[in-house]
Amino acid sequence: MRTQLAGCLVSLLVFAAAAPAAGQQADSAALVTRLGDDTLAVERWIRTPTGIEAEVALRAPRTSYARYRLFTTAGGVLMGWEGSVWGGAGQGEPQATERATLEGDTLVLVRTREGRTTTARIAAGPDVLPFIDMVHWPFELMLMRAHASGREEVTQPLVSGTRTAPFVLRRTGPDGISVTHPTRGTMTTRVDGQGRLRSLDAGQTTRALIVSREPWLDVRAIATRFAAGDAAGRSFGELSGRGGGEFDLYQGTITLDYGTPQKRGRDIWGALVPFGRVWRTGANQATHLTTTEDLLFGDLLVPAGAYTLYSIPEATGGVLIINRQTGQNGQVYNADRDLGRVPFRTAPLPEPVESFTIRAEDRGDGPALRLLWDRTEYYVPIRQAADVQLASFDLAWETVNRTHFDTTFNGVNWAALRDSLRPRAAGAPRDTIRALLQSMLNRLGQSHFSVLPEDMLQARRSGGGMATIGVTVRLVGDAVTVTEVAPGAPADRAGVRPGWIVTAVDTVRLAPLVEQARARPGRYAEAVRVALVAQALLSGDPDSQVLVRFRDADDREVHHHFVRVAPTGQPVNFGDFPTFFAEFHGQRLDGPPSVVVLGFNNWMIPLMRQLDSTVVAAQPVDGVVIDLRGNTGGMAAMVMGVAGHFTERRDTLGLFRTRRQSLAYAANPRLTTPTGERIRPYAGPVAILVDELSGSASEVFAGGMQALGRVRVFGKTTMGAVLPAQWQKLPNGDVLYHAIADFITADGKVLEGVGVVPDQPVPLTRADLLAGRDPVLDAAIQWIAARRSGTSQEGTR
Amino acid sequence: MTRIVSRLLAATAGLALVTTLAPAQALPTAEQVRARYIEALGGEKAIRAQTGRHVLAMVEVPAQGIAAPIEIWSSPPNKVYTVTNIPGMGELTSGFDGETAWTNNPATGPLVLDGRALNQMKQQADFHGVLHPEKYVTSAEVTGEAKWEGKDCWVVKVKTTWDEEYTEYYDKATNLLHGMARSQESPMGPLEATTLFTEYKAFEGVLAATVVTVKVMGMEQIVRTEQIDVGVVPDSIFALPAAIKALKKP
Repeated sequence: MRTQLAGCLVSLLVFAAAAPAAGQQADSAALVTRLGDDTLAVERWIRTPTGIEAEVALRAPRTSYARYRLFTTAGGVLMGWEGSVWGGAGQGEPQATERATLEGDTLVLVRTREGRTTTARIAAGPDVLPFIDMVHWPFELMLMRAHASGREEVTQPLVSGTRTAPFVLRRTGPDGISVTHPTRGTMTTRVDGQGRLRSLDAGQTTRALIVSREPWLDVRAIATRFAAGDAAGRSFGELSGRGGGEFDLYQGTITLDYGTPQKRGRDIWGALVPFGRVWRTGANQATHLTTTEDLLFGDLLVPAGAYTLYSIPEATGGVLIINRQTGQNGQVYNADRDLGRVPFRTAPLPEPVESFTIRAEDRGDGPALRLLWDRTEYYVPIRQAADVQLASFDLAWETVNRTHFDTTFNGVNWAALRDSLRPRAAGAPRDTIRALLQSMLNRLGQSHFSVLPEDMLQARRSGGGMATIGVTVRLVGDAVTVTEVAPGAPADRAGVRPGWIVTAVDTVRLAPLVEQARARPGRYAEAVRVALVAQALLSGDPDSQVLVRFRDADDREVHHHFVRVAPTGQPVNFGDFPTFFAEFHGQRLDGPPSVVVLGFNNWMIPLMRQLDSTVVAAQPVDGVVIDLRGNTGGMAAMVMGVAGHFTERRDTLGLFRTRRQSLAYAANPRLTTPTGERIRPYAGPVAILVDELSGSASEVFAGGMQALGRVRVFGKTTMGAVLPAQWQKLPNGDVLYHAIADFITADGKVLEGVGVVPDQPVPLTRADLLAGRDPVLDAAIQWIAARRSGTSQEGTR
Repeated sequence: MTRIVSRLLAATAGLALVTTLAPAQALPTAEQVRARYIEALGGEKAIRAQTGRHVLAMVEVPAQGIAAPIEIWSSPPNKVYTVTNIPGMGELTSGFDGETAWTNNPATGPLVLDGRALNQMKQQADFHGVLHPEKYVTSAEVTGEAKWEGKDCWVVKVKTTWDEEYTEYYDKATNLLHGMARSQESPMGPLEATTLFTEYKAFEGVLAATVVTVKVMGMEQIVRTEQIDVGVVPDSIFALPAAIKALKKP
């Protein structure tokens, strides 16, 4: 309130002094610069045939008085300038001086402050002008130049410090020119017929100043009044000072450091701070928040650490943005560094708040981060991290309760299960919460229910846990056996070949794992469980080491030390879903029969372009083989596009049944290329290869196409994990992966827990592998050959 | 804007209301609700004065960590084109050029819409649709008032010329459309969706909801408008992509 009153008084002073004065000259001008209803600066200048003489009274943070002279030749070519600045009203010796002299293509700057002189030389031409913060007489010169040029856009170099900075001036209308500051944003100006400055609005910049041309002013006299105001304790102060402090909450401390812009009579929310745009939430240096303990802001877990705050205010709320980047200016906002966004709540303030204020404190209805300014408070509740874990448990339970497609929860008393587990969740650490949740989800006995730990998800983005030695393994007979070796991978370089048996990985012997899997029936077939465990043992972080023991083709015990390599393939990041490293392979076998074999490790949409072009190019061949062995699924929407390559009808592969509605995975017949070339879906025989690790979207596709009679499926029964699922970020950062629908093929088969049963089962033997044979692919090719010769009609619709 | 953004997600605003049934006592007629809505938006004159729009927005699925930019162009009488670029998925486009409604995404390929999906697109692409609801709606009735998504609303039941029924909710305090419950057509079939329109702001004299929230299949999708430029949109924007043109060939 005190600041506000001071501002009003000073405004009155300025207006009182603004009456026309005797001595005003024709080629002269005066400007008043205001910030809200406070006057920040007054200035006037006189233009002479050889330059400009100007004087300025500036109030921030305390009053100063300055005189400037800019020299030109009689022809108007810049020679240099000089300036002197005094504290107060201009008595005594100046506090600082500057002399700039243009010497050829060099501007020599000699500055003196507090008895210390520095000299700088910078490259500059005769078009350069000085930039003086919060002073605008040089603007008139550059506006007049821009106007006289007749061009829509010009760039004006201004000297700031020891650099020249480009200001872009752009014609916006017959009496308008915009001025873009290199970092602070764009100002609008109104100019007269000669380009002289009539007014300037910097409301969209970080300074939010308004400049107007006024009648002649006695600047020295005004400086004297300003100085008297300072002496009386009514100084203007910093444009935006710093605020902050430490706030004890729960068992920790929140430290805040932020700029404090002032209201200065202006409307703030929806005006000075526009709705719907990212706001720096302070001024100058970014607003910093440090917490010494994990906290929950709204539903967002904020681990102990340092952050910066931004926001997008709206009339009824908007969002607080918590960003991981620190140390930057508030104008720098990198959305990709966001920790998260939290919805604001709002409340009216009983009295207008002059200085923007942030506090972390109890507001009566619980602790909150409070943003107070003008007549509105924006706030987000803050809770303890212990609450975060319990909130995560509750949200996971509630999400499944709300979205599970089966209101009987597969026979599980879902409410009773919560009641029995929740007491153990209260106050529990994250690892315990994960275990409790996974235990709760396992009780459903269905696929696609799991908790994905945040640290695993983050590590996986850079291949963490996904690095391999380059082998694929399956349970063949009684042994974990290498079925494929990636060319050039560490295993290949070590001489490992398909058919070798893996006996141990580091200290884990695999034979007991097989025995255990057989002894304890689980939701998945033993071959699935063994293969998944073995693959997981062989995988790790990039550059990690692993010792693997084998029995080679001659049953000799051999072992190799490997350094795991990062997964090949294209990393695909889709929201908080785990990163997949998508790979596609396609080859043409000339035959006879001529066959295109295509495969991909996951249903990832960025692979579609390769897949589309491979299938389109396959048109003349005798058959197509789609190898989905080991493909554990992905984005199920792809099945509609892939199926459309093989049918001319909008056939339904199956139904996706949520609790409330039934949706169809319908093929979208592919009748054109992206460039508009008319094509027809492939009408020849299609074989799909599957095995025990073909899951989810692979099963939807294989089972759906099989039900339509459009394909013939070869290999082993698939995983039986087919439920369409979504994911939900939990407050503690983990992700709940949860099924929301059942899937039924077009001929009414339920695949969940059953899998796709091949039309032609093909066992895999160690002898085949050692001999370099792929009996599943061979069977498919034989079938295509039979179709080509007309001896088989299986798989024909 | 309200209609344009909502169309991108699932349900959308059929802004059409005509009166065919006598209203209950003390309830406004659907025609009155519509008239107040038009006035609240800025009035018929301001609505007709707009010759096109270009919208920049972000679409978010907060629970899944998905955020993607979206751009929408629209023009009278009924043209629209949208493009969204979702990380990990690619570019999704859709449009209506006054005759052909279409979508194209890398997962499923190009598709020309027909049946109910085409009818919905026609209605939702109608730039001045709020002013001539009779083109799409056979009846609209204010059935009562209700507290809906935090606001006291007039409840309006709408029936379309293709026998679709849906419900609109108009904020009694502001007269603005607060939301709707509608079954929106998709390539997988109809999706039950609830759409909420908030943060109305004026653009060249006409209000538009700058935050549109769609609740569908247990998830919340939010479109936050960052910028709307009002003005003529070149017709070339709405030209059918080559793949869609080819689909139309006999």
